Amino acid sequence: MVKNIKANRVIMAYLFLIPALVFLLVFRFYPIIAGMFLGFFSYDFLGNSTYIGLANFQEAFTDRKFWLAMQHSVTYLLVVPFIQLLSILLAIMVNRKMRGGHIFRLAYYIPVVTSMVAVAITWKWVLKSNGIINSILTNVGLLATPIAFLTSPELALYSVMFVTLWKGLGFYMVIYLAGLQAVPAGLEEVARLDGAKTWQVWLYITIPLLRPSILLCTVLSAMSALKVFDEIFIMTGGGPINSSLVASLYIYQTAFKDYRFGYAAALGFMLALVVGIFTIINFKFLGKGGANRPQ
Amino acid sequence: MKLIISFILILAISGWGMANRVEAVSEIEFWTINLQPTFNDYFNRMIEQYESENTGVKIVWKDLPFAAIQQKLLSSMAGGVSPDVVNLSTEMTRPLIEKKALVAIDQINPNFADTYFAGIWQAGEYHGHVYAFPWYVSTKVIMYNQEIFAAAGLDPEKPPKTMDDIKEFSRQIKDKTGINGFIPHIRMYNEFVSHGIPLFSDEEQREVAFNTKEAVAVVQWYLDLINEEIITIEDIRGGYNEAIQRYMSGNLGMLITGPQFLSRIKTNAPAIYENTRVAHLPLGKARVINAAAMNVVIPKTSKNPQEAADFAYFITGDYAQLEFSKIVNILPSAIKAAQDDFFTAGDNTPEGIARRISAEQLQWARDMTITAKNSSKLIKAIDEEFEKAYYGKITAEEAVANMAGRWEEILSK
Repeated sequence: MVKNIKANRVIMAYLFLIPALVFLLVFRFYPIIAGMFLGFFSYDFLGNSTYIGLANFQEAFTDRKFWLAMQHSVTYLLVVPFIQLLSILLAIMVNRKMRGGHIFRLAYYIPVVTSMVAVAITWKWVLKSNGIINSILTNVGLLATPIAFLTSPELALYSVMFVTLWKGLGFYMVIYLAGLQAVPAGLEEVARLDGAKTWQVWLYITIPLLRPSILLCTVLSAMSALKVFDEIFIMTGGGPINSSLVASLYIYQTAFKDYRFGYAAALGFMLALVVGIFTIINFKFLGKGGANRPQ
Repeated sequence: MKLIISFILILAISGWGMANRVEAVSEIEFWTINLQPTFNDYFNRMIEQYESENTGVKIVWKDLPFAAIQQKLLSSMAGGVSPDVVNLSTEMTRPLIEKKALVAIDQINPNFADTYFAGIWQAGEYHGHVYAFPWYVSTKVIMYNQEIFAAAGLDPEKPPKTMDDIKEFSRQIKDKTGINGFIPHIRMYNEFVSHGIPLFSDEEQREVAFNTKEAVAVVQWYLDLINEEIITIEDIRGGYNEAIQRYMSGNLGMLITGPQFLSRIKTNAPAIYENTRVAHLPLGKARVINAAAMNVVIPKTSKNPQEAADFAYFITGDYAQLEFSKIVNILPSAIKAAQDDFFTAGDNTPEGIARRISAEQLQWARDMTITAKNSSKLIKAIDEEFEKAYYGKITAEEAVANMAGRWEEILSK
């Protein structure tokens, strides 16, 4: 009887899991595996494909433009420490009990739920030489000539990185907020009673207890940074002079502009490898997850 | 008895067959670029007319954004659920022709060619076959704001006659009013052709011919615009949209674009439209003008290529193109439609004048889209080297040499 109930529960669990699993198989795992295989073919989108072995991967190793794009994608990782630091600070600020605190939480979260297309177009206007930032700075006399945020090869990538940071801040803030609210208040009080200053409480109590959240957010933001596409596509198109060309945009161009789907799949596979390596590094450095968390 | 049963069976089968014929409807999916909702009435009318003349054919019209159509088309073709009739620019059409992804329409009916201007029809030719129905075309005109001209001390009665005039007028407008005179939309290979510099030295388009002093001078002319602060790098990168936005907000003296954009100006900036005058675009040494053409193509994955070609021919034919030209300032690629009095007897509104000028310019029109193999790579090579030049990374000489070098490399593959 007990055995039967147990078996039924297992069956029920699988029944609940099956729809999601089917969805994942069809829309995630199948495209990933098919994409990996496509990397070994020359494919012309009309269904004609020829097996060419490792030729696509060999070409990728000597493709200077791909490595330049990859270099920019890795540079994009600079967003990660800034976004983490700022979102932790924001989370600590909005976690305080204060009147109207929820308004700030809402305000910081609005960019997260705004479409990236809308955000990128708006920031494109804001950052133009006659946009609001340049107009204010030149009108108050802080600038003699406008800054070419998006049309300077030296600045374009960093300008888009700023937009990514601005948009993503609220998302990570919410995760940290949840983490902060799970920190036992007693620990901080005891530390204060023992004479710890506010920064010491943060550094030795709050931040270490946030470690699982930090790991999650760092991994998520590093993966997003390496795969960045939308804001680059809309704001700079990879220019000027390929100075903001990132790996995913190059892969997109290879597939949909040059019609080289096999080669694009090979490049996509290599990008996935790099993302995987960075994720492993993150786990190594920030590993142990919640191991230090008090039970 | 057997006879009666056989008779009943025959009747039943033929009846079933007839019922099937009545129900059989060929569905033709038709994709256009950025034409909804402005032209809903026109297309619904045309579709209704076509369907009433061709019972059993149903047209399903979908409109897509310019930036998305290429990707959506490729995905649908790869998935085997492609549309049947697709509107594409010549630049988008060429790589698909090279990939053998389109139906050769001259193989469906060799007489299609007689309907269209030869120069525009040939833009869809590749290895002896034609893969695209030419649709509407436009030649660029100069629209200028006479108030800005007057403020800059220029006579609105005397529009620029040469490209050097445009440069000098722009300089004067900038000096006197602080706003831009014009914003060029530069396709350097078009500039070369307009200046009589051939891109290739052979018919097979394998040998590069533009590595010349004349080509360097053309590149240098544009670099001087930046060096002399007549335009900025941001202006060049802004392209058409930037130019139209600025013109509509009264922040641009001259707008060089197709006459069809006048309707946008009329709707969105009526005061600017009232101040707008229209003039011929100065011709280069070769006395040719680029006729940017839109095409209608049939993907090879279409399930009804015959019916699709028939509808494509209808929508790009004399009648439909003339009707279309009457509601938007474009020119037909169909010969008989272009001969209609409508194009010569325009009123004196900016739209009427633009229509007349654009129609007059058709005699010098030529679709300058690169038709050689790997056209998208060739275009990219030119754009990238010119970009380096206007950022000051290389000189005009180096830019032209690099362009030619990269072309030779691409063409040798």
